[in-house]
Amino acid sequence: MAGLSVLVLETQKKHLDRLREKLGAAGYDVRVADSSQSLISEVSTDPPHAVILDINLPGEDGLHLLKTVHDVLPELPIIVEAAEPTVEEAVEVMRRGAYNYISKRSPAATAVEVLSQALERERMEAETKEKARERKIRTFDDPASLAVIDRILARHHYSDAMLISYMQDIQEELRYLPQEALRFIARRLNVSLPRVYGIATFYKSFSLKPRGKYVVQVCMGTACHVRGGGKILESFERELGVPPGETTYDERFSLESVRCVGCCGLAPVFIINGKFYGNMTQEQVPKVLGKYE
Amino acid sequence: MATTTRLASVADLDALRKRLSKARDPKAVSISICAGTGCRAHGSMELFEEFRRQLAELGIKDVDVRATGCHGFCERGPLVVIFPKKIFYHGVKVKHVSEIIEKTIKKGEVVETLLYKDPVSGELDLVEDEVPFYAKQQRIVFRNNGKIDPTSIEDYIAVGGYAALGKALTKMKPAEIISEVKKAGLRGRGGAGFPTGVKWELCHKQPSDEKYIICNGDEGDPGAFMDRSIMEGDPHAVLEGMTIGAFAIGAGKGFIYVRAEYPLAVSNLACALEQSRELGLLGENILGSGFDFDINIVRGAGAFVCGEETALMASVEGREGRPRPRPPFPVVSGLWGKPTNINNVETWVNVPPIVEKGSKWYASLGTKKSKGTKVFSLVGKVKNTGLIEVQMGTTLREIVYEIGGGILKDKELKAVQTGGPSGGCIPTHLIDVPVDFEELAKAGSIMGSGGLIVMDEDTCMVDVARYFVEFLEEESCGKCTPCREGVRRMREILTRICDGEGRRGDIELLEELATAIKEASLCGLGSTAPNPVLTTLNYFRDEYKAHIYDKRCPAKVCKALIIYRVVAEKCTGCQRCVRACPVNAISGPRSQPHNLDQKKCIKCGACWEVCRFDAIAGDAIYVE
Repeated sequence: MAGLSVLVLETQKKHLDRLREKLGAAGYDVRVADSSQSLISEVSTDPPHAVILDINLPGEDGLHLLKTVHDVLPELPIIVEAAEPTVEEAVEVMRRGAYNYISKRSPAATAVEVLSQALERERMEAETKEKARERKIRTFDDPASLAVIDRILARHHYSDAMLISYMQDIQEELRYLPQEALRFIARRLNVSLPRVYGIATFYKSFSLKPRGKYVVQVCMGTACHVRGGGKILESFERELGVPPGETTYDERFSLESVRCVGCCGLAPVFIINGKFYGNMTQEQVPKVLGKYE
Repeated sequence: MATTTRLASVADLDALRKRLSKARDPKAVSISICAGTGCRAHGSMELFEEFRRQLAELGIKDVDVRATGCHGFCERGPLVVIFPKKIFYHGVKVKHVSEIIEKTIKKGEVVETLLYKDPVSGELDLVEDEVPFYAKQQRIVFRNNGKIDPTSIEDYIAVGGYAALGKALTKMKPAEIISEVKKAGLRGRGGAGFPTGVKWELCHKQPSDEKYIICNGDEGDPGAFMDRSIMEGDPHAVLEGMTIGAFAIGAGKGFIYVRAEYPLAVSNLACALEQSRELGLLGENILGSGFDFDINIVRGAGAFVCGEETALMASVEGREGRPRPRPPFPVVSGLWGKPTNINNVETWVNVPPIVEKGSKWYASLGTKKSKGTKVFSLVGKVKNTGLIEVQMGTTLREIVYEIGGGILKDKELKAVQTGGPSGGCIPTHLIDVPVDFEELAKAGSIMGSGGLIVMDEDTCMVDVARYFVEFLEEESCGKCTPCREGVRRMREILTRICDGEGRRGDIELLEELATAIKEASLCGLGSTAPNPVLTTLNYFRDEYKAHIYDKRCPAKVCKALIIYRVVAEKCTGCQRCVRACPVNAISGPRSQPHNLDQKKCIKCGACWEVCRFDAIAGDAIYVE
């Protein structure tokens, strides 16, 4: 939790102290706002990672404050605490954008737990967004990216005899061949799309699907086969949860089986992003994978 | 570098060689570290860096550290040879570097723990040539591997490189070169063994303004990696052979087609090409002879069928690599319809020594119809795996037992598979067959590109046949029906036999299919596809019968026909298998025989692999 800050507005001194102690013990950086104004100004000038808000502010409308803060930072997780929780209030609080609604009477540990859930969700959402952003770049719909492909095609003067070579270079840049790239190549070289697609599907080294950050290639050459390469492949399938030719859900690992990498002296062999692992056993598979987690 | 100026004549080349050899004291101490793919996987590049770092730290400047091509003995990597005494160390780790420098480099002493111990006599072998693995070999193709830095053209020239090219360009006419190659009896090393000189002559005689030559480096046979080692370890030898061939044939342009899986070969070849062009050994007016020739590298993209010449040419032209019917043969109509001569990597590398030393010398090696040497990759269930080069006519027994050191764990040899997926399995009783093109064909197999996969009693021959057929089904380009459909049917039948569902009549059906596929397929891939099935049926029919009728896998490989169980009398309860089991099928308290739950067991064999007490047995079971 190091470095994660939580901003607390709580009017009951005793409860505030309890929260402080529990949150501090859990490793959070606890900041305290003494009024609704200071809460709003802190959120807008130095935003915390989460807010814990007492809804029963004396002489103030807690619900209104909640909405204001939510409007300033819509993605900020706000946990609302109530001394006398009611169902009606809960509905209203959630409608105004709170992450959760808890009772002050529940142990302080509950607040810590809810907070950690909120931050975990926040982290996952950010990750998903980052991936979506990456994916957008990788789908190559913007002209700047097509320029990259064009530069590769220009290397050999747009000669269609070099088609396979272009596609290898493009795949090296993008880790796979997106549909848009194939269409662009066909247009630019003035060859039919079926010819480009034919090559992309005929040769095994081309991938039409995005590949993971780490590409695991398990050798299925004859020497590896007689020395148990098949078992190594099955072991990877179990560890990664995907069959050969597929990529794990988190896009970290792609599993592929290849026919002989010419390293038969060390059978059975697998390669992860170009690094060779020889004389392997099933027992070693999870250990090696651990290095890449 | 002082050598960047173009060499305008053979005299220039000779002068350069003289200068280079003078600068190299044969008595100087140098360290050569194997940087082949196998040794790299063992960490040889870290070793290379460590030697350099420590020598620099100690201020030792006159010791050359070289990362060379593959030495061949992959099993024992990383390999280090200390010149001039040629002291041979194996299994060297980074932690040994300081000791080697302290003892061997500084004092000339030997680090005995790193020497090779002869498993038979128990004696320590000091130099490479004493090690039995090397002693039986004769190295022509591998003449420079392990001696020179593949990224240095100076190294290659210093050991006599490009001398044959000089001789060919200035002292020989194209027809003379062809006649020498013919007289030498060199035959294509890609597998079929077609006489190289005859092929050259046919191409040479074609009237055409433009001709091409191709080096086939699409080493697709699983279990074969000699071409990889040559291209990685001695790329200039490939270029020199090709340039001589191009001069003899009259070609102006060459292509080297390299497999996608060999990135180091591509980069070393590319580096060699650049150096050769710089020195004028490629390009216009080579060595002042008026002969123009240049080479391009084409990277394969992962298709086994591209090893077939017509498919390979389609791929070079930027199309899908599907074979076409022959004739016309490539020597008549090849790349872009022009006469084209294709030879395998190893074939090209044999050319410079033939030109330099003469056909008589070369023809004195080997057997009546198969001359010279052949490189084999000796792999599988053999003690000393690696690359070996032996004279044609050496017997399989010599290769497996003398060079290979026998079978792993001293088990029984069952068969040696030669020739890749198009080859066959040679059983133990034919182990004394000398390897040459004709003899292997008589035994029902082929020479192929040179993979020798040793199989022991634990290898199931039906499973091996299924493996190859599955490989070929995947690699079939789909153009002709016998190959596309026939191979698939064979795979279905073999899979069902391995799954314990074999039926009466399956063996006969396999034989019938095999004959049809052999006769009717368009290219070599299809017409040789049934070979693994036919040879295993021929020599190991009993194993097929055991699978089909007794529902038993004698080699304990086929999952459906075996169960794993714990042998209580042998189990010490060490819990290793409990940890290794991926599905938690094994349980039991420490120090008591473990319990294996058959319902959970997925038969992965992880427990069997880790068991130190032979307590887990894969037993054949009988199923009604």
